[in-house]
Amino acid sequence: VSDGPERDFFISYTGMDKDWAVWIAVELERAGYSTFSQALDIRPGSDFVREMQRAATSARHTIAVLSPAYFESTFGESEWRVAFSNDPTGERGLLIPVRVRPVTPLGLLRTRVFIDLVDLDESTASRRLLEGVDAAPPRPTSAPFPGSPTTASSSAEKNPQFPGVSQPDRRAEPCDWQEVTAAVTDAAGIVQGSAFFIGNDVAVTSTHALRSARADATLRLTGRPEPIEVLEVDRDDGLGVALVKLGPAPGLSTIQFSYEDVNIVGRSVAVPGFTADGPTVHSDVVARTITRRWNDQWNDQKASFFQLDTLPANSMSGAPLIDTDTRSVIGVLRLSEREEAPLAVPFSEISRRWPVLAQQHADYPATYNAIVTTHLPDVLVRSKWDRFVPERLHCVVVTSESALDEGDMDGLDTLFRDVLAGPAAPAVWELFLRAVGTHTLLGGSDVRALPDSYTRSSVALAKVGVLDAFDSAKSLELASRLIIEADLALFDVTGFEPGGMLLLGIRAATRRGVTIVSHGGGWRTGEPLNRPFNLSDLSLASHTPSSDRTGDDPRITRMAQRIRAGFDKLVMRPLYKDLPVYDAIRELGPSRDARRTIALEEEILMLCSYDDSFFANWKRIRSLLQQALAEADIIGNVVRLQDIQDPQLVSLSLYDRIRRCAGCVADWTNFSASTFFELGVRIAVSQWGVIQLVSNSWIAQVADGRPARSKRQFDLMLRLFNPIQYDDDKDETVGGAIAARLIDLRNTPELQGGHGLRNVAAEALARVDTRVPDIVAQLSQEADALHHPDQLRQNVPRALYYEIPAIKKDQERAALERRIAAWFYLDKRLGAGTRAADDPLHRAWVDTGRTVAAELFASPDQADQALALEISEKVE
Amino acid sequence: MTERDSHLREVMTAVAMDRQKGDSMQRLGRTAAAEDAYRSATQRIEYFLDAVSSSGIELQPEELAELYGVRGGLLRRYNQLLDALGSYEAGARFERAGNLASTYNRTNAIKLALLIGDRTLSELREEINDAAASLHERLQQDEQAADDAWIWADLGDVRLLQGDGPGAEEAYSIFVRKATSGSPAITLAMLEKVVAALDLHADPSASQVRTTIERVRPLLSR
Repeated sequence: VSDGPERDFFISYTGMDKDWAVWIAVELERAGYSTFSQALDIRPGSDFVREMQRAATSARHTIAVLSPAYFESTFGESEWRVAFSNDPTGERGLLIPVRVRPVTPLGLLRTRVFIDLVDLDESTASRRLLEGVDAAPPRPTSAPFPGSPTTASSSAEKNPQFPGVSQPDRRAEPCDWQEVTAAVTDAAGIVQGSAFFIGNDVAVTSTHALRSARADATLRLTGRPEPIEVLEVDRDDGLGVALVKLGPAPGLSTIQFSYEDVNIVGRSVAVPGFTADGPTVHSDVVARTITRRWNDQWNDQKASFFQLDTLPANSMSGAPLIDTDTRSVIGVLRLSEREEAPLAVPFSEISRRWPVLAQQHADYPATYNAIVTTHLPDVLVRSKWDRFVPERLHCVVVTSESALDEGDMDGLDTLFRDVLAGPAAPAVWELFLRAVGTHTLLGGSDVRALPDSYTRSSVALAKVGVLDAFDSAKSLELASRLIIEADLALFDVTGFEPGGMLLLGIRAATRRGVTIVSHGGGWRTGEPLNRPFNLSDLSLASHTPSSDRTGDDPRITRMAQRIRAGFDKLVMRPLYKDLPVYDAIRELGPSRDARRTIALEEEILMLCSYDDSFFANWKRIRSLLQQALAEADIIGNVVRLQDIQDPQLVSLSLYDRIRRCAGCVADWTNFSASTFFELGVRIAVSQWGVIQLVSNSWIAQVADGRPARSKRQFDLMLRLFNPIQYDDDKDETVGGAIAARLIDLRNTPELQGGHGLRNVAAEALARVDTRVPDIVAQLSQEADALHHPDQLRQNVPRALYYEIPAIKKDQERAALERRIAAWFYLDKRLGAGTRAADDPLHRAWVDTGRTVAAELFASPDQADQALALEISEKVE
Repeated sequence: MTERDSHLREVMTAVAMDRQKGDSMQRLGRTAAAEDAYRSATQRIEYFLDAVSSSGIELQPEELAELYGVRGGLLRRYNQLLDALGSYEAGARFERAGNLASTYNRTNAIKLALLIGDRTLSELREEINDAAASLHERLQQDEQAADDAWIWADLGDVRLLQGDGPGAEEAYSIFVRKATSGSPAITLAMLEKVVAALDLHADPSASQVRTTIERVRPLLSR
């Protein structure tokens, strides 16, 4: 931008409206104006934010492309605000809003008259746009030289189709509907529903159709004798729509969705589908739009539906709804036993459930079908699994609030899914199998009987958006369950958002699986990053897209490497760690006092920010709380981590206190990432719970947009946790309020004072945690680590400082004694010697016995020799 | 672990037990019992090799070299010296064919040739120098090989036979640090047998080897 000429128009838009932005740019350039837009002028690899800021400040006018998505976008607001502040009254016409989808402008934009392109055909829209911009700014002083393009983009790139509703250019090619629709049949071949193809291996239908066809659903095309197998289904029961992954079906014809006209009511629609008699087309009219509410796994949901005038046959459920004017597919017919009226699901709702459809539609109109097919992977991301299945690899990806702004296509969930559905998947599976294949779950007879090789159905992949997680208590319980149950978890910690850190704390405290923590937002591995204290030791991954990428996405390769390495290490090290906390909070020592509760009279732990700006708050709260407790005859010492006079590692002291202190207070003020991580740990493990606080000044700062990225989750968390709110320097009651809650907790019956998530954690772990290793395995592992029986024969590396004779002899002796103990346990306790020769216990008894006897024979001690003889004679 | 790996491990564990039992019986002067134990171990290896051969299972050069090396050691223990030499030479072929770091069979074949009196030290000079050069090169280039106690013992042996006292001392001192606590004594016992054989066969290098052994004796008998 800095090198180019000043442009007439800077076009500000959000990704959903890219096609509109391109169309506007081309219309303006055809009229002789110069434009700048991200879609046409930002090259891959350039500094996007910097160039957009420059363009926003240097262009003569800014066009804001208004839609509901635009008002959700952080970047959008920062772009139009530049023009607004330079022309607050609008006299200079610097900011020109152009409305392309139905939306009521919000905030400052309400004061601007907008150019309205909604519901217009292309020529009217073009005329209205040019009239609008002509009226607003002065005409450009110079016309661009006709011999050279006005921007770096080629004319071919700037030849878009009009993205509006009446779009003769975009009408589907004349099409025989029977080629793109199919009957959904049951095992007996009876038609139960209808479907249509949107990609070479993907179809859309209704959940009603699939339910009727039961598990053996197939798709049958007219004139094609072989049914098409249904391989996998991703369904949304609330909407009543399902995407179906198909088996091989060469030569399928496909159709594409289009956004519906907002004035769809009264429009004629055609619904081509199937009945028992064969293909048919139901003609109807959209009578009205209605809203339905339901509860899904996360929260209350609602969606708009089109209601049709007349009821088609049940087997038409799943058929496409086609606007007869535009011949576009605008929805899916969904019939239901519970609904009397025939309803169709608009594409706007479908694309909200499967955003990839909308994004691909916007980005690649010409290759839509191919892209949709490419991006409907073998492993489909679901929002949850209903129950932990020991035969599966359970993976969860936790996405940040900032991921929403960056768009799903660059999101961690897509990346993770590509790894788990891609060529690396079998290798990941093999290592996962080695890591947990022999584990016995706590839940009785549940052994992880994993298949020997990878199949798509062996992987359960759930996505937890941080905003979804904190939407309600029920949502948080579900998110926590998934996070705890997952064998493999991937956390997006971009910006170290409070909600994400809390969820990470829960994972860290509860599960020793493989957890990959990744940061995006432009950060790359090796670059400086201001990490929270608790994550300072973490091997942080980066999912920032490569700026100069060609070919395969290197992030997929890197992610696959990390996952493989994680499971590999889990095999090698029984005490594998990729997060802090797990062992520190459990291994407190065998001493009787080591796990004793720290009473309110001893210490009350405060989790809070260490920022200078919080210091005054900390001092006041400590003083007020100590005073309030003293009034209740409790002389307690309120401490932060750094006030604990303990020479052991800070992290050990911290997690020891988080587990043992009966009194714990967490102050959210300043969004200290460490505080929220520790809060997650405390919530997950403590039977005493935690008193949460936040200052009103911080609430006001967040409301004002500082920090910008976490506002929505903060609002949700505020509602969910209801922390004590206090005024920074005036509130004298905060100490009393905290003290009252602490005393309440003290008087609460055992195990009932903790947060409800502690119970969620305990119940989840009872299902998925593995049993403590049996004594033989544990003794053998300890012995092998001290002195491996293959050490001399196969050059197994030695223990540390083995070269010192005293250490060497001690380790050899300790290893031998453990092996002897293991052998006697096998012999006397398990009766392994009397079992069949091919019984694993018998084989372990023979193997351990021989190893022990060999070492005892080498000893000069006569008692050892005698024992060696006894053992060798028994095992031979 | 595959079924094949599991069988190999089972055999080697049983062989180790028999061998240690034989060594123990030997120390107690129960020669017949010792020989029984050694024979039992030898047979385990031979049965395994036969079974592998007849079932068409392929073993890796390092596995074959190990099996023939251990078999050579067992045969030597109960004085089947020519068979032992044959076993070491077979193992040496696999070491060369597989370009293995280990020179266990090669150095033992040299020492056994001296024990038998088949050849004099000067007649074996070329093989000794080759082995020394090969070991030196391997230890310079391969950190994992340098981690192997037996390679340092082999280097000590060939340097000792070359008359390089300081070099042998250096190699044995590393061997002692890396080996299990009982291993240096076994090495020393073998060296004493070699020098006794050199005396017996009036090898002109006998006194030079004896002097070097005396130099490293404190190290190996610690």
